[in-house]
Amino acid sequence: MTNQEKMLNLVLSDTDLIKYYKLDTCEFYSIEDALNSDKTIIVAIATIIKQLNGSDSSSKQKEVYKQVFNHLNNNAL
Amino acid sequence: MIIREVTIENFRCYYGKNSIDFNDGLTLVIGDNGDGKTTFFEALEWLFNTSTLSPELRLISQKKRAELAPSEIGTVKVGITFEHDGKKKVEKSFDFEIKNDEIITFNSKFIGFEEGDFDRLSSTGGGNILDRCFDAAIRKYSLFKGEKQLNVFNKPEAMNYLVRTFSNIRDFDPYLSFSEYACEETQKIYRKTIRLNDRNAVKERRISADIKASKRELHEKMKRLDAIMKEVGEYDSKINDYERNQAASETLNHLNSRIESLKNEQAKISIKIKEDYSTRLLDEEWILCGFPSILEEFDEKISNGNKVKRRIEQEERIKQGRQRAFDEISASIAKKVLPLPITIPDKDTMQELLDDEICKVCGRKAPKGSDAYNFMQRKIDELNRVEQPKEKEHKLEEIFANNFMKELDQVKMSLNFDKENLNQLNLRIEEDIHFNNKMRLEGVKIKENIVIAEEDKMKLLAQTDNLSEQELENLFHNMRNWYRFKVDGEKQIPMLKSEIEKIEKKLAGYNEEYDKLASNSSANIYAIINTAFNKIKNSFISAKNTNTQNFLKQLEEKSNEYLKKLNFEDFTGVIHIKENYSGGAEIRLYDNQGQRVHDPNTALETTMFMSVLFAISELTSIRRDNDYPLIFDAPTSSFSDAKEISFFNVIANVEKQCIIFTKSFLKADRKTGKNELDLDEIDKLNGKVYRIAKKRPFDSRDLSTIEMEISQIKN
Repeated sequence: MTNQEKMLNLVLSDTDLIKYYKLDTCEFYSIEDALNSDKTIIVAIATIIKQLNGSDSSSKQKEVYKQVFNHLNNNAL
Repeated sequence: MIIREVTIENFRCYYGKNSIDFNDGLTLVIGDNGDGKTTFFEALEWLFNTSTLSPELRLISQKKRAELAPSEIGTVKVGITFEHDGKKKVEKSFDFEIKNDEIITFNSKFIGFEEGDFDRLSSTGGGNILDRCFDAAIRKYSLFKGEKQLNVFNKPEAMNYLVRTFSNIRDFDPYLSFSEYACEETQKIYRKTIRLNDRNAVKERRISADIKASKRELHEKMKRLDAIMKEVGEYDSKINDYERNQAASETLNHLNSRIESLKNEQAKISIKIKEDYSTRLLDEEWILCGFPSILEEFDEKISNGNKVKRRIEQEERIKQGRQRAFDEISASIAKKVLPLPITIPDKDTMQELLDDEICKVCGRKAPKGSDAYNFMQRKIDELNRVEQPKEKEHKLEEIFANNFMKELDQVKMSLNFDKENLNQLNLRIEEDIHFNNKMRLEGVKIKENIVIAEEDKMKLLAQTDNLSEQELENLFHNMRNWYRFKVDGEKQIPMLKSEIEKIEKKLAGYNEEYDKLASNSSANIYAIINTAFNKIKNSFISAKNTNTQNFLKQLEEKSNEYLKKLNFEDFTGVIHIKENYSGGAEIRLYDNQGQRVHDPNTALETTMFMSVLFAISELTSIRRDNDYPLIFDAPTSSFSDAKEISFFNVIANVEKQCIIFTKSFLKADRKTGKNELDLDEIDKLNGKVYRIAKKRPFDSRDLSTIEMEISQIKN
């Protein structure tokens, strides 16, 4: 399991997130699985983890933000 | 990273080229005090320091330096061959030569070789290879000198560092920073969109103001909570220090109090001692104490003087009487008439004859002025003169005209009175000197007690965790306040948390109200997106906290496994690793009843810290798919022989490369008195063993004759 996958699954195990977006608590997600999920929030989180890839540069943050914002805007939650 | 070989050349006491091969498991390097164990360890530290190449003169072997011919070039070199994604080798070195009696260094190098191209230098250099394969983060948890460096959580930043480096999931911070940024951006867009609708604009402004005020309030409370948590953490850490050093702190306080009391007593005694004998000799007339014999002599002399005076006076009186009688008789003889005695006729008869102017002896008249009358007149004058003794004494007093004897008599009388005082003075002097001697003796005893107490204090401070006397005193004096501050702080934390919870609920209500503004409007989607980013942010925060807790839990479990192994058939207790309020972590030992073991013995404490190090190392090899060695210089100084040997045997069976420099397995030979290897015990050990020792003979006062030799004892 990669660091990104571990992070993704730990983020997705947050009880408040699960409750709010009615997520499946048992499912394991690879990054690819998550990106192809039908749950918009899971795709958003996977996109953030994959695209940001641990970078703390502000330009990268802006780029990822636009991408995730568009995804959320285009796929109403 | 597995170390295969270390080569040391002309590095301090390692003259010439010296090599040691290492196993995957335990390698023991045994050496007595001063036999180069720490130097070997320092050679590795020098090699692993990739931040500098600067050559240091102190690193040059004195023997090589002494042997160096003019224009000859010497080299100091430390090299390591290891496996990490294939075989690699790095060497750090510099050359030196002597010019004009001064040693100069040059040609510093840090070169690297990699497998497949082993004969050619790596373009990245030795420092880069080391940083890649054995980075600074890991090196901090790999090399340990002595027992005191083993607590890796000693430094406040260690916890974050360990979690960041060795935990299951790394690099959360950029995602938290991103989430924060995304929330702010969507909030801005959402607000702008809401305000496009005039009906909502007023309401939006009011709710925005409420949200802003609540956020400000929340921020203040959070800030306060954070400060209190930090304070509580600091007091907790201070209390821990106190608890760890409680016995020492209390003993120091007792010792200081004893020393102070003894010094006060000493000061009182020194005030009581009046040894200003020279001053008292005159001021208090002590000088007179030797005078009684002189006074007696003085008395005697005065008595004698008086006697002499009286005798002289008597003699003078006789002499003068004789002279006068002689004169009178001589005058009579000269007149050829023998006069009658002066008393014939007597004075009354003579006066009658004069009054009657008749000599009643011959019956002739003797009128006034006649010869007969004048004769009678002279006779009576003579008689009167004889009868006047004062005139005679007056003549005698002229011999002692100054009256000195009388004055001396008076002095003698007054000195007779002082004799009594002098006897009392002698007694007083004797008492005073006796008292002073007694006090002085007591002073010496007190001084001895002060010296003993000071020595005890020095010993205590030498054994106490590198804390200064002031720090130990502070621990003692401030402990009660710290407990009070900590308890007060801990009381405030739940109250503040509850207040924060209320504000958060209030804020959530405002946010909900705010989101409702967007219902059935174009802003609705931004409300949804804003909520999504907030939820994502909170999930990342929660994941980061969970990751830390998981890491500590795993570390704790692994540490306890090692603790059991390292303390086989002995009391171990249970290691608890807790995150503290200031964001750091603490390693503590508890018994199975949940009671904290405040003052574990040094050997148990050492194994506790080593267990954590083994656990960190194991977690790292799981996380990073590579291993690194643990290198200890004299980690078991506090262990008993039996404990040490069983400890090494346990380590030999742990699947971990472990290199330990030690003076264990050396025992004094009864015949020679020299330390020899205990080969029987070494034979039982599962690991590679080397002996390092000074090559003999050598001159004990000449460093340039010192050279270490390394011999393999067990393969």
